Amino acid sequence: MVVLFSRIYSERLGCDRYEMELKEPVKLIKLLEHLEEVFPDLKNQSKGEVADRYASHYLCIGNGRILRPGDTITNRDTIEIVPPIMGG
Amino acid sequence: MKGGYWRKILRINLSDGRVWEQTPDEDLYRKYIGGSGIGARFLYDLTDGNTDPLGPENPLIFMTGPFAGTPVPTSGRHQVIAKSPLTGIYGEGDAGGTWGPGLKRCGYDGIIIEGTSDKPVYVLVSEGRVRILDAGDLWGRDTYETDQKLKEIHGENIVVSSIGPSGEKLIKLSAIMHDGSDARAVGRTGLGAVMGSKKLKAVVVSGNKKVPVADPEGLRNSIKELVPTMVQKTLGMKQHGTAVGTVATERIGDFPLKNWAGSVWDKVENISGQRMTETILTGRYFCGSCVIGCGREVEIKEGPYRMKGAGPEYEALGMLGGMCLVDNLEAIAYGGELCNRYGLDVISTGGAIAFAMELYEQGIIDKKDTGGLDLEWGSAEAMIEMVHQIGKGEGLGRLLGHGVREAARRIGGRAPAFAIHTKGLEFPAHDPRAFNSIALGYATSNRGACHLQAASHMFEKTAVMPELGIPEPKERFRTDDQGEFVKVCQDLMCILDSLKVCKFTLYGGLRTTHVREWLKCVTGWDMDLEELMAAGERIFNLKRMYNVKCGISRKDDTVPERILKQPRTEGGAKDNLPPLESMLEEYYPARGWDSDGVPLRETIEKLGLEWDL
Repeated sequence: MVVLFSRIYSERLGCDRYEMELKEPVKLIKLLEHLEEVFPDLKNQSKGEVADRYASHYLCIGNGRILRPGDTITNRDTIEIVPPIMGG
Repeated sequence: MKGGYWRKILRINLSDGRVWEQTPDEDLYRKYIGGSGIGARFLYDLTDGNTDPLGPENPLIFMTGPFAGTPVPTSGRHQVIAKSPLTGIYGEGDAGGTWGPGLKRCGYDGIIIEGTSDKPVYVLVSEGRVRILDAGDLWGRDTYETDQKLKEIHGENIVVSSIGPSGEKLIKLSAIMHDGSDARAVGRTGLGAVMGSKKLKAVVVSGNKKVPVADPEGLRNSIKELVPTMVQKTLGMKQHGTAVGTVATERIGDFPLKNWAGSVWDKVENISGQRMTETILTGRYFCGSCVIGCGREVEIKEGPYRMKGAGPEYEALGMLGGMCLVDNLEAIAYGGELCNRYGLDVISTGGAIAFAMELYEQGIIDKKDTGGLDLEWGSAEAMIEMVHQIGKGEGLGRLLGHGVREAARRIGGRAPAFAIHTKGLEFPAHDPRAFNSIALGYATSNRGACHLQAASHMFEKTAVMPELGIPEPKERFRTDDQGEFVKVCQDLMCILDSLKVCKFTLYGGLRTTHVREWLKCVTGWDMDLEELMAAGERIFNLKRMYNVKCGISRKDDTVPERILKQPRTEGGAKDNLPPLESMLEEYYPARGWDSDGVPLRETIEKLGLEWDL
């Protein structure tokens, strides 16, 4: 599967995509835990659990959809990490 | 009631200079809560379908909520209500800042200003006195200068609500601005022109009365419990402003592009909230009692767009940026500052400019109409020039200042097809093709196209409200279950607009349980969920009844053909078109309205609105 980072994250993390092999489908929340291990800066100095951070610090979009922590991600998917959606 | 209100509304007639106080019954407060609700009730009683919005009989109603002046999070807001000169129906807008708590500390819940002065004046409410003073020296000044000048005269502790030159010229896109260069706007529905029609330049408040609270300790404890969560959940808005979600909004197909004809935009990151933080941000602004801090302070030190003051919010970036395909962040910030200084609604102004750019592209207008200006997509210079023209009421801007509906009618031919509005109010920066519920929300909103009168999209992004049947965010493209959902959202927003609590608290975990607890601590009222939601439903229906008096019916509950028939061709909302008619079929019965959109007698009676039957 492929994870794309929107510009604000690619500049902070030093790469704009990350590829990994998913042997079986996983919940988004599990994938995010892995990504935060690989890219600690994704946490943006925030403490606590991934679930508390998700949607308030960053968000995942997949195929035009706002992904929920419980959504299932497969090896065929491409998701993008973008800033949270709120305001306006 | 034991607190929250003074039960005093200040009445002023500028035609004859009369000033008096009205003391409404507690029943009015409990049924209509405050802000939007009480304002709607006064407007309903004082005007009718024939009232000229720019005539002396149209009252300009400033109203606070029960929490203004207390520590309730984000309660520093107030509402302004009048018949709209832009739409000809119910008009209202709200602003944050400090003016609402300022009025409350003067010992008033609201001010109703009627009549018309024969010369420019401003109203000063201070030290227990109400004075109507000459504004000859202020007339013609922009809103930042007006604030500064009034502070030179009356001291730094005053809070100013004022119009700029566009309101003086009765331009129908005019806003009422607050807090000087912090620029908190009552932007929508052209109420700045109502203020201008009264020759009222400003309303200045300064007071130090302590707002009564029934149970101060209970309130403190309740607030303490929620605030850490709210701060954490909305941290993105503190860091990057309301524009934090600009990129995500573009990715899901919600961001407005090219007068609603565009689908995706690879330049959106040039104008994101994060880009603003990295480049021109100098500080963050908190409205009264706010714990979120989404306001921006920016400075551009060099070049054609030099400025210092309030930075652009998401709506400015959408309307002056994406809608016009301008990806120059400094130009958008400067365009926003011009809107603030002229006293223009940045949403309608951006919508009107994008409309003109499309007419230019289509050959419906040309350089003869634009005064030689090349009104091309993406031209920051053209966008800025059009803001000036609209603000001054000159050139093509004079026509656009009537709003896109009226401008299109006057131009004729194919022009109306490019005028994107509902009931005469330009769309804000959210696309109904990205959230089906937004289409229904815009179509049935009482002030015309508005994302905040239902704010249903919040509950399709990340917000939840389990006690109202929204335990998790809903799917945004669903075609059923919309009628009752949008109704509940609208009723809830009527409550927040009447309490005068910021809707961004919904992203911070606000629940109706918090609202009820705070209401009990502040006023002493023990209101259950049913009574609270009935108040929201009552307020929404009252506004609809007003609009029915103005001739509104099902024929007006719609969105433009472009939104219903022309899908986005790429991106996160590709190919989706909102099924408006079937959603309306669900909505009217959920509302208790007949098939023409008129509240049924039983609905009116159930809500205690039968005094009008």
